[in-house]
Amino acid sequence: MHPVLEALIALNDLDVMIQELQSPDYREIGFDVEDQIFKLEKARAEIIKKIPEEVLKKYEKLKKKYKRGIAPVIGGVCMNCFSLLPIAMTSEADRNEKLSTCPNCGIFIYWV
Amino acid sequence: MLEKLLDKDRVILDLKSKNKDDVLKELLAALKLPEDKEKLVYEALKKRESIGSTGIGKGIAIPHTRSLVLDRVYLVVGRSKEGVDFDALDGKPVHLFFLLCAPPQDPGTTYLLTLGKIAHVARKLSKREDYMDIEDPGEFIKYLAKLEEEE
Repeated sequence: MHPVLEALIALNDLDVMIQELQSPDYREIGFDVEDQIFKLEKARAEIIKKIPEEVLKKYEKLKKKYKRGIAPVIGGVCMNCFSLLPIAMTSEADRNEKLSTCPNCGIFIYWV
Repeated sequence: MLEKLLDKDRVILDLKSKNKDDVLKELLAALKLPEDKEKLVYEALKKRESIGSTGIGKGIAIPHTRSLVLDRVYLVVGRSKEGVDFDALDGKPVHLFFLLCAPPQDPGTTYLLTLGKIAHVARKLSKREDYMDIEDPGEFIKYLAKLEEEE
């Protein structure tokens, strides 16, 4: 897997976690961790160091627009905009060895 | 709900691990993910544990996370007869683990619903000890399903 792609996935997982830990639905289950979330912000700062500035800028911009900067591709479909990706992209063997974006919505993509 | 998510291959009744990191790895191995995916899920689980143990006390822990590399919701149940130090809230060793992992997109919020269900079952389990005697994974799944249905 491309190291920047790996860092983007870790960043996304962390962003989803930070958001969810603060949701009332999560807290209702009985896990009360809100006052410890700063620790995850520290972990986020560490992950960011592995991502080139222009990629991070794009990720943050996408996150503002779509609430996420990277989306999985399942069955050749981008799970952000639900468009079918071109066959040329789908059939590449080393799909996760490079950083790619959805040709339709521009989000970073990971082939599950 | 738990019965549908569980599989005999994902019920480990004799965990070998003796510490927190190893037990997370042993539970995660049951998902049979490629190495690079497993690494990312493990890191996410560790980050979640870093802000407060999911060892809710009375010998039960519910490690959980979401990760983009997953294609669906996974549940693994693990039991340690000796017990593992998991930094549980009550400081006691953990004997029963529910590992829950899901993708972020997770349609129908199965993940949070399942997490709630597990927490509910865990509260019932905390008043019992008979789950330590079951030796067959299929029987263990039925036991949990029955407990889930009971009011």
